[in-house]
Amino acid sequence: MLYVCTVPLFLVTRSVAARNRRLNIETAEAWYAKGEEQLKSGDLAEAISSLRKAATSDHDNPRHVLALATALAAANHDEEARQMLLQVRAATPENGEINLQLARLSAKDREAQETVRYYHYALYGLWPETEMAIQRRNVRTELVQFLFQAGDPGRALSELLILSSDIPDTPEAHNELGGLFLDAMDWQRAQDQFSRTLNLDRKNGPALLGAGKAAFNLADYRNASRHLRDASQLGFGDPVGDTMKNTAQFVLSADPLAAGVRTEERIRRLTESLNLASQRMQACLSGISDPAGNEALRTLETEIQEGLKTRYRNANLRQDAEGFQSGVDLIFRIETVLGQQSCPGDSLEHRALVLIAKKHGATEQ
Amino acid sequence: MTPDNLIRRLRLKDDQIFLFLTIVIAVIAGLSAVLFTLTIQETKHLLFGLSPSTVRLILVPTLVSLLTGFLLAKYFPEARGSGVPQTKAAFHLDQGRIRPGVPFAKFLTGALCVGSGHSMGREGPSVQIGAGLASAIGQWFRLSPERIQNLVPIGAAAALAAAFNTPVAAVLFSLEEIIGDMNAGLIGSTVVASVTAVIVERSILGDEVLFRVPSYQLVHPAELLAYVVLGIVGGLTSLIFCKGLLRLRRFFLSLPPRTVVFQPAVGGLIIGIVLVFVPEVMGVGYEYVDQALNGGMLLQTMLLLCVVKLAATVISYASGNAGGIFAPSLYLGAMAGGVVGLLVHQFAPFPTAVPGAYALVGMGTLFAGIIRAPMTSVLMIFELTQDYQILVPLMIANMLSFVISKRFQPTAVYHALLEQNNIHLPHTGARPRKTAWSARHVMATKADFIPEETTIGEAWQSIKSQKGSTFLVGSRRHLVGIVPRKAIELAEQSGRGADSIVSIAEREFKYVYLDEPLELALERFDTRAGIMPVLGRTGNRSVDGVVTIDTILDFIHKKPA
Repeated sequence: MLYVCTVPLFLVTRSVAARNRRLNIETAEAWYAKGEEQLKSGDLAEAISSLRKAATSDHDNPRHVLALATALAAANHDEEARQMLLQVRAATPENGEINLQLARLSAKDREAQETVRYYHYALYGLWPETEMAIQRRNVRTELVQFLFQAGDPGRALSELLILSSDIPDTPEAHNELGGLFLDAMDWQRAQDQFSRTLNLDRKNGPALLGAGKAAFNLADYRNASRHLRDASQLGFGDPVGDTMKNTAQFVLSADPLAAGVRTEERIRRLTESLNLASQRMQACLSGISDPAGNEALRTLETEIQEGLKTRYRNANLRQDAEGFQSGVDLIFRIETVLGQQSCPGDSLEHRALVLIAKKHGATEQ
Repeated sequence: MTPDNLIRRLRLKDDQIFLFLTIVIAVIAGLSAVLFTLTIQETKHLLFGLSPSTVRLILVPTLVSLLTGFLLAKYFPEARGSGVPQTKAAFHLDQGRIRPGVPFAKFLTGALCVGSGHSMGREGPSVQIGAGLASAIGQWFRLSPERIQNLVPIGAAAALAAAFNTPVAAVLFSLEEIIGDMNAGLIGSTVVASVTAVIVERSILGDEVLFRVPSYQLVHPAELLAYVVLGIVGGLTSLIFCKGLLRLRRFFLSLPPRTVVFQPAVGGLIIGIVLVFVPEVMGVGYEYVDQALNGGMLLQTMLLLCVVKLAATVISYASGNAGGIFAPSLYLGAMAGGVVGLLVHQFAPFPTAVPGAYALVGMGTLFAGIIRAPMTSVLMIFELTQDYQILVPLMIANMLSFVISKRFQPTAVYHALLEQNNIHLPHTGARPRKTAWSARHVMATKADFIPEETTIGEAWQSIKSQKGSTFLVGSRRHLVGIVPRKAIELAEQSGRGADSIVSIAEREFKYVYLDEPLELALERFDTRAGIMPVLGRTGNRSVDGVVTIDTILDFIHKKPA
């Protein structure tokens, strides 16, 4: 008789439990949808409340927990988000998305080692088959960006090289990678990536901007000027790019050692450059207090005044081809000392003079 | 076969039947607890939907309480409140006999009350349902009274294990709270029942956890000081809760009997209004406990929830609804612990654990302070965390809370609730030993009373010719007090013969309960009074007999060797 009572009770309870489970899943889905809407409309507090109800109603759905954890992290409830993710991770340690969220939380706390570890778990974790490649690429990109922020460009570059071997041949992918190479100051690889984009789309603004910056840093001022000008015309300029463009244009117009320039023009360029450096030096000499710096500048002042009267005179320069190189070297030395003494008047033109000198072999001692 | 062998064989068979019944009862109690939990959820969903309107929030608890109030007042008064005190009373005073209809009534009214938003728990009702079913099965099988009594804590342990998912704590709760004896011989059976019920529960619900418990850490030894503070806060909060609950319940009990049907609805209306502003106190509320444990609440929110939940639970319970205080005590503990944790985390000059760790310890602390089951409170939280590190802080906080609560509220809340219903359970220290003589052995059931309506003059006339120096005033059902012969004589001679005898009756007097040990009866017996009433534990000072010098002498002469 007891058996007769127990079996139906068991069956009834099981069926109620199943019904309850379905009800909970439906409730959770409703709250999840509401939470997502609230997130989109920017109502973070309400979204958290709705997503929390979703996660409570259906514990087993990691999507709800992930959405809640992401919202919590956005609202700076990092500790709760972390606890939540760690508990879900205990059941599915290989879940890529969970590890990625944990990496982001650790990144917020600047826990470099932990962050890199979670990013690697996410990289080698499981993602839906259809989006595995793109997700892994995105994770590695995030990792590279984190490493740059964490001041570890060496590791960032090595991750970047792995990333570069696995990108699709699309302008967006090349541009993103090129940008990361720019951050890593690997100008050549950056230029390669932007060039690939330009091969696919010659009027790609971001690629023109990136290629211009890379060319500028590679001292290819002609290409830098051209790309940056084109980018600016397409509406993709930025302040850094504009400065680079103007500097490059000045370098191109003021370089006395540039190929294909007539002698008169070379002389004019050198003389103007020497006068420019001299003017800044004159202005600086009156305000300088450091005796050693003063002495160095006075020596250079004597050298430039004498040079302008003798070696760098028009007639002498025509017979002395080495005079141009010597003049450029003198300008470099002057600008270096002026820079060391923090003299006022450091402008685009003066930085361009230094770049001209460097382009022709001048190095800081 | 010798008679000894036969008896041994029969006894073995009896033990086997008991074991079989234990397992079957555990399955049934476990299933009923799971079904009860699910029914509460379904009821809540049905009554409130996804986003209830203000009108619905107010009307649902009010109207549902009107219905349950009618059922509880007219048909099942035993199903009011938690269910744990009633189970204790049935175990200690009625040899485990519970009316078979009670578990079904408790199931229905409990699911309706908790599901309609009352701030009450499901564990207490589950205990009563499990114990009630166990008792009903025992009665149905016509088991001996002792066996029926033994089945009650077994059913209670099984139901609690399934409802709260902590099998060890359920066994301890049954021993500590229901039986009141940690060394009871029923440990084996309760363990079997508890484990069986948890298996049943998991076979249906899977490995679902009640709370996501944060990993516990004692970051710095100085943190133990913070747990001392938590223990004190927990003790004081427990006191406020217990005193508030008992006072408000006393007020409701003092209202005219015709209002009993409507009292739960009054509670329902107040709760409905509270829910409009603070919906987080609705029902069991474990989702908010989970949130507090995982650092998802602000200080102000936890403080507010602690205060409002305390008030809401007191109102729901005192107004006579069906539901427990087990879950509310954990809720309050989590909030109080979370508040302490956040403050410590913010201001302590030493590194501290996350506030969730304090919320976790706080749960045990309030449980120890309110329910007064210190061992269960420690084991329950330990079972939830499965982390040895938590034991020392937990024991410090729980014991402090327990001591503070006991110091200022000597009678535990379950006992006090029963006493408000004129049911007096034996205290733990005064449990009668089964081999000892008790008061019942030295008493005479025949007792003479002076009826309350008697005047002093009439009383004097009737006792003048009688022996005895002290007389009982009232009736067998209700003893008003005692009155010495000398007092009656003096009052009569001073011209107060027309006054009621009640006016000179002493209301504070020495008495003994039926089951209290003989030694205690003799110790309390005052030879000058010459008579001591023996009271029943149920009813308003009902008299089961009297102890006199004659009955004592009679016992000495007739006592078997």
